[in-house]
Amino acid sequence: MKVLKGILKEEEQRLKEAQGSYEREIGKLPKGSVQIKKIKERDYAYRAYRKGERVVYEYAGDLKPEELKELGKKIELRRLYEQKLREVRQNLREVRRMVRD
Amino acid sequence: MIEDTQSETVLEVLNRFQKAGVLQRLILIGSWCLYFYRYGIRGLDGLRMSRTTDIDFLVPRPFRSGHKVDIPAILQELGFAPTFHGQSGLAVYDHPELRLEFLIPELGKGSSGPITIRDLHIKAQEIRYLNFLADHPIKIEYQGLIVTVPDPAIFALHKLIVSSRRKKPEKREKDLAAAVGILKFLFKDPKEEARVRAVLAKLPPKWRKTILTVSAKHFPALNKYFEK
Repeated sequence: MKVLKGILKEEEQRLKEAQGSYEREIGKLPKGSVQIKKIKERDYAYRAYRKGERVVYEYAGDLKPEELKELGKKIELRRLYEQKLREVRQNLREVRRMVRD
Repeated sequence: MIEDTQSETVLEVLNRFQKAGVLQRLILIGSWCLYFYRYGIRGLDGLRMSRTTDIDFLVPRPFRSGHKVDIPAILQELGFAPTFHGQSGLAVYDHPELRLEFLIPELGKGSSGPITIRDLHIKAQEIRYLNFLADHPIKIEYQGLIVTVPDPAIFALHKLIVSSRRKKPEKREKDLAAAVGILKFLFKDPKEEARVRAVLAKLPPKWRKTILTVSAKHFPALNKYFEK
């Protein structure tokens, strides 16, 4: 039983570190989504994200296609990391419950 | 937390490493070897694998340089995030079900920090006795993958050696369980039994003594095979 508790404690520590790593990486990445608006026959890229109740459209600047692709990739990665962070938190809750029981 | 999801993630990592041409340059070590021994080695199919969240890759030393592969970028795409330990830049890669690490044999007195593998964009942590594993690799084919793992006899003897150096009882128990699990199966085959004894005889006396002391203490039933 002592060995099992030790394994669970170790996994709890790992998950806490993983949570910190995901939070740090998410903080470095842009949130929202890229939206293209057509204004007078020209395409303009905006980053749309939620701020409280409202959706903010932030002009992404005069981006070259590869820069736009890069921005899209970063947003995708943020989403992936947010999903992984939810899983880490869920696993952490389960491990903590097992440590207590 | 489900072993199936975990196995899927491990296989995904291995697949991506293989496609990038780096899997054949690394050796899978640690408890995930047992997963492949079960499928790839006759007689070890009944092996019990204890659950583990660590997946360890051994970087052979000297590392055969070849084409460059950005391993952190591959792991990022698979949802792994780097967890940095200390100021040395050494990172392990975390996932909800797994932690992936790169290890390298420690030679001589060892270095003061991790070893940079420029071709792979990673740093590897030096650990003693890993050259024992690196010197006896075998290849196992599984679902289109060709995975390099240590010879199971060597893996088991190595586990007995490192168990004696573990401070945490849970780690020690896991090492011993893995070693005995494999040796019990190998000792059923007289050829394998003779091979294990031959390997043991060639080891440095200090290592051999450690193995015999550990097995005498924890598994006297196995010790008789070593001392035949």
